[in-house]
Amino acid sequence: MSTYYFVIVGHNDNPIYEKEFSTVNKELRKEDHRHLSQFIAHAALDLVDEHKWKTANMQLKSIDRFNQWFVSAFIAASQIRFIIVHDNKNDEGIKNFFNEMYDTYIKHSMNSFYRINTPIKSPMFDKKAEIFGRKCLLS
Amino acid sequence: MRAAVGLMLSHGGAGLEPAMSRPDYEQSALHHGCLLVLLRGVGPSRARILQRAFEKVRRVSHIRVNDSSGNPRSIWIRFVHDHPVEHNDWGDFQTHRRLLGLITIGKFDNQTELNELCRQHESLKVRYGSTLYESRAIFFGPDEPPLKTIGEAQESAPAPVARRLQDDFTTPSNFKSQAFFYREQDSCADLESRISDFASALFWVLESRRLERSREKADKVSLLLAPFEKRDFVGLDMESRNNRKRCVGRVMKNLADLSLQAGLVEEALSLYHNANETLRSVGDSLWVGATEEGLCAASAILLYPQMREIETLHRNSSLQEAGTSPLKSTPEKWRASDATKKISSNEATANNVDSGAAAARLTSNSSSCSSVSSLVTTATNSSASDTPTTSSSSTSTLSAAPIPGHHRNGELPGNILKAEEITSYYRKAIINYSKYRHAATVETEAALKASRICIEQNRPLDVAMFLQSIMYINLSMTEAERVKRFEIITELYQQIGYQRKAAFFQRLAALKHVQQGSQAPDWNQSYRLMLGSFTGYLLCLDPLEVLENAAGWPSLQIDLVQSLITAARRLGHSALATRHMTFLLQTQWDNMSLTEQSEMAVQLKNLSAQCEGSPVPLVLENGTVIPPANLTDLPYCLDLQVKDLPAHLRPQRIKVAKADSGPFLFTPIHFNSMDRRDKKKDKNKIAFLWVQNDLSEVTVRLRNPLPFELPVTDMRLLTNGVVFESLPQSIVLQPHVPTYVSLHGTPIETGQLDLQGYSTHTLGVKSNCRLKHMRGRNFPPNYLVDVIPALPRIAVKSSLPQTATFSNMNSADIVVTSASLTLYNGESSSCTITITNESETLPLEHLEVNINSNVEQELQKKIFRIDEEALKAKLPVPPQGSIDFELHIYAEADFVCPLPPASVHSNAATGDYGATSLPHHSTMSASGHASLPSRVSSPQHRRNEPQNSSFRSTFSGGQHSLAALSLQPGGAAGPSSLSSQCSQHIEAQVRMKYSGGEALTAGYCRQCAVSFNLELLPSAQITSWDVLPAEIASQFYLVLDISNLTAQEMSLNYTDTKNILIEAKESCRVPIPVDRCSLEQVVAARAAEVAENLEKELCFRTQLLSFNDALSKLCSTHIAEKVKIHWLLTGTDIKGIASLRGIVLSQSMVDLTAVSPLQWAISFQDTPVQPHSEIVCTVGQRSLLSIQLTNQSLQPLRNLVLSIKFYQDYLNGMENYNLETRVAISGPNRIAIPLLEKQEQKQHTCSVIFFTPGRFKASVECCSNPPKEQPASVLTRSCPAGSLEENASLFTSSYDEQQAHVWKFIPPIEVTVVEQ
Repeated sequence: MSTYYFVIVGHNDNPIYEKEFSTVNKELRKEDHRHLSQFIAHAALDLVDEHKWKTANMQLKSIDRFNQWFVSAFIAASQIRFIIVHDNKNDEGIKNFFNEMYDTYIKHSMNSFYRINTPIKSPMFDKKAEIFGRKCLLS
Repeated sequence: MRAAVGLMLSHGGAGLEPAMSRPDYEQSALHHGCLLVLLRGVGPSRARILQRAFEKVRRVSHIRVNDSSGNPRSIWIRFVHDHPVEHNDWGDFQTHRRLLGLITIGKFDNQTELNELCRQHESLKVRYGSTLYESRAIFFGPDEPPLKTIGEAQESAPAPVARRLQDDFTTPSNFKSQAFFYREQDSCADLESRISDFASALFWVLESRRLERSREKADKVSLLLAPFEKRDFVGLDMESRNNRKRCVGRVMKNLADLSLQAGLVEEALSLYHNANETLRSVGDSLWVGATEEGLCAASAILLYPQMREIETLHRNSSLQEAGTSPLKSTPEKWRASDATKKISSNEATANNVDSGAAAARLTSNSSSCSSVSSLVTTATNSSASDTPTTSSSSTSTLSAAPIPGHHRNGELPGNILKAEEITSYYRKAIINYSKYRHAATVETEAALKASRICIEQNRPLDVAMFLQSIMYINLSMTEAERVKRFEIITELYQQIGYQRKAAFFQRLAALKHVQQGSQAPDWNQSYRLMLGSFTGYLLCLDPLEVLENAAGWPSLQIDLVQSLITAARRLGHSALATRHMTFLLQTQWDNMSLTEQSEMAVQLKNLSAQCEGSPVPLVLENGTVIPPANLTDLPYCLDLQVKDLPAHLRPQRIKVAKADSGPFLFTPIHFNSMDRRDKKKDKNKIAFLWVQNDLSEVTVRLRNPLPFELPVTDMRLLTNGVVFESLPQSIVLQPHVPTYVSLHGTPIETGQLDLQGYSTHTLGVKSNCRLKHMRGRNFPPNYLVDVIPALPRIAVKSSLPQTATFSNMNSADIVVTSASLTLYNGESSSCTITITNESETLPLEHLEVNINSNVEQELQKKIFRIDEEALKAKLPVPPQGSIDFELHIYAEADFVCPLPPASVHSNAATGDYGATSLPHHSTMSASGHASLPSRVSSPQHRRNEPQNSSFRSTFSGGQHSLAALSLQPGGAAGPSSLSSQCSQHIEAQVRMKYSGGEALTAGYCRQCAVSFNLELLPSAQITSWDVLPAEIASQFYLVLDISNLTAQEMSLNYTDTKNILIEAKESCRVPIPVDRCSLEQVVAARAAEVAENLEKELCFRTQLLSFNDALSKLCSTHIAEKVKIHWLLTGTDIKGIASLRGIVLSQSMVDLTAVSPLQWAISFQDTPVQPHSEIVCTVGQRSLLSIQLTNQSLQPLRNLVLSIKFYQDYLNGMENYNLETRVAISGPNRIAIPLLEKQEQKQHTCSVIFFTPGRFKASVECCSNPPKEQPASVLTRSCPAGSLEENASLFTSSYDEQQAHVWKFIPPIEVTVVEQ
């Protein structure tokens, strides 16, 4: 079993898009869990911000951990931060997922009706995230 | 109290486990070189009294001693409050863990208390006996009894006094320690030197131990053990080569520790290096780790001496207050010195061994901590300056000679670890420690020390790495310790500026405090920590700032605030809980779902039931101020409008200032544009004024965003500036329905009122909703209203009945009452208007009445009349007093019927007087005379009018027109503003401007109005008229057709004596004898006309008035003046006067009306002809007719034709002029008179012969003809030649002569011819 909590964080530490992927049945998952993931993701922002200037890579794998959870991140060119809180190592899958989502995000931000740093509410985006999540993370 | 201490002691002694259960989280690398001293307060604690002593002792953290060979040594002391005894067991492993000294501080009042203090001191000594070198006790005795103060005059007394205290109280015999006695108020001047002595005593013992150890033979050393190792070495061969090496290595390490403490850092370094090599070769991982840590510590002592400063600061600050404020400032310092640090660290890494670089590094470091040291000096009070050994030595001395004892030449030893090596050594040490389960505490401490060093090195990622590793150290510890661990991690993260990380752990710590299953949940701590983690989540206590920033992770923020609310509630601080809930609602409203919103609102209601929320700052016990939170957007304000006063109470300027005072009507230059521009700038400035003591209103449109009814009570306006009395308003808002709420209040003072918003009380919370805090609605930050001095108020009443509807005239809003009146045309009435001054204090000093109506000014003046002088005399009106005045109303109307279209074209020519009838006439003429383009009043046009010899048809024609009128009365009256055919509505306002008191001097007044609805009913009307010659020459008959348009019988009084009754809707004809218009008047009129024409000619040479116009006007006025027709509706007392104003006269009528310019003197048979005299002559006999004409007028008359005609009047309307066979005249019957100068007489004599008897009449008339017209029609065919020659001399004619006139001799001469 593995769970992934994916979040896109804007410039003001505000979440723009949140999504959870899990192999666990929905009944077994707890709401509490998601909350903890949010806290972990938020706490990891300090390290993400520290690391992003130290490396040329957009991928920051497993930069933080808390108990059994790891935090991987991806820095977009516009300093938008993609963060995944996960409980098992899947560097390759996460990398692919980040790349796919970055692509999707870029396309979405091209939409002139979308203002950067505001929550993404597009169902298309959501659907894409769902597909890539299943393909890269859960497979 | 003592029992508590006892409990504490027993608790301290209870733990005897091999592993250290309690990590020392405060420890830093530099503590490896310190001597550990327990500083403990004993006896009943009196913290404040002893605090000073504690501080004094604590200040002595560093001493300098010269050792036996004369080398200076730097010795550092670390004071601790508490030291678990089992930590001493680790003293062999790391000597700095050993407690070397003991200082107790106590306060006593009597001998027994002193004994108790001594006992406690001794028991502590016993407890730590195994490691203790020395101990001191500091006792504060009672103050000197008052008696002593009298003898205190001698200033050299303190020594005997001190002795006396020791004399008074004696320590028990078993008390072996050295004790210092002080009075409670003593300044303890020698305390610090005594502590220094104590420290040096410790040093000497330590030095002896070190020397002892150093002199030990390598083969004789015993194995030093960490506490948990004892079991491991049981039964092992201690003599093996490996174990010997192990023993030697450990001893060497021990010696290094001691050297480090004794101030020999360089020696310690080399010893550590050696020990490290030795131990590594035997694989003694634990001790290898210890040597590595030792190396790091020794290097750090040399590299980062300033860390002591920070450490001292921490301790001091933590003593002063538990707050986190100094912690907050630390990362700032850290960030501020970032740049310099990075540069210097680069240098250091490039050539670290280079002493110059190291020196540079030191300076930079010292500069980085300058702010800290300044903080220290403020914290420890400047009294520290007199003790040279205090830690708070100034920065300058530090940078000039940093730790002179160790490297005199400013050089660092060659074997020192480089900055980045320290980190890797620590890492290695931690790895080594991690191999031993029991060394978990040491490992934890090492990680903390490492992270502190990394903080100093400005390597946040390493700090994070070390702190991260702490989390994974498996350490069995109590929950309290775990919380402590989180807190220390928080603190360290905060130091490197990782606020979010810090907040994460702070929150964890807070949750741990109140974890489920915890025996004693500490909500207070939890609350404190939650509040502390606000910054990490980009929240702050001020809701406005949070809204302003609009940053952070909303769901986490909501969670945090909710936890905070729970903690506050559990603490019993309902006020705080309410405040935080309000904060949550205000700041996170937009981030909550609808259900969450309503849930939170309900929660707030429940919370506030316990403690009402109000907008005042709350102060926590630790001094934190919680700023007020307001439910600014609950209910949501859509709109706020400042309302003007009701129109009738609105203040106005008494004199309206002229807009521009320039010489031009239109100019782009605005002379007073300065203030105009100012007004535009003030967008929030309200254009109108409010009045002191007058109820004012602001309308607010509110929406309730909650799905349930929201009661809002005690809504008031929030104002600044002048004193304003707000009236509370309560309302229940339905969900999602915008509702208007009016907020009222009264300004008490004059000046500028600053409307800032309103306050509400909803969901149990009082809120100040200020406009400037309402976001996204484009409100100005406030509204400014000028309040002027109080104005009086009046009530107005009229004696007439009120109307049902108010008028629709403009500014109808100032109308306070109304009056209605119905009058017949010509009737007059009056109305009493009563004005009551309603104000309590102000007199009514100024009252201005004017009338405004929908009719022309001229007419209005005739209708309404007020005696303003009498009114003025009644002022001022005292408060509550009243006055009244009369308004006279006369139903002015045009009684003269406008002429029917058939005859208009002629009379319109002369009809431009009588202002009211003018428009009517113009319309009529337009319809009657289609060829005319527009108004007909130009004399040019008039001249083109055809000759109107028979202006008005005979009376039968008049009759006809009358009939036509009665058939269509409405049609004729249609476009007229004031016609008499149908009822007429006049709307008028009697406007009153009034003022009084200060406002009057300020130039303000109020205006109110009484609306008058006047209905004018038609009464009598003159439908047609004519002028007939009267029996005597000085009079004429005005014949009028008067119709009664009322529904009642009307009695007409048309002359002084004559009455006539007219049935309703009937008309009748009355002749009225009127005196002719006198010649003087005509003359005057003529003179005026000449003057006027002259003027006109000078100006533009056109549009000259003819004398005729003036004359005809004169005649019309004359008639209007002379003839007043009084009417009375029989059976009622309704009566009135019909005036003939505006009557239009034709030329012939004018000639009759005015006195003729010609004076006739006719004699027949040499006897002058008298009116109505009988002249008799006989047939066939010649009779002499002599006619004498005199020009009475002021002008010469030209082109006159005198004609004599005989005719026979059959008295049946037929007149026979064909009398050729009956009468003959000698000479011409038409005599042309080309010019008749004024006062000139002309005589014409002829003979008449009658051929048959009968009654003859002779009409003698004189015509004047217009010069250019062919006079053919008038001048008879019988004498064309005469007229022709007259025409020649007509060029200099005056204007009036261009019109034809006929002057007759009245009455015609009657001749009775009889047979001979």
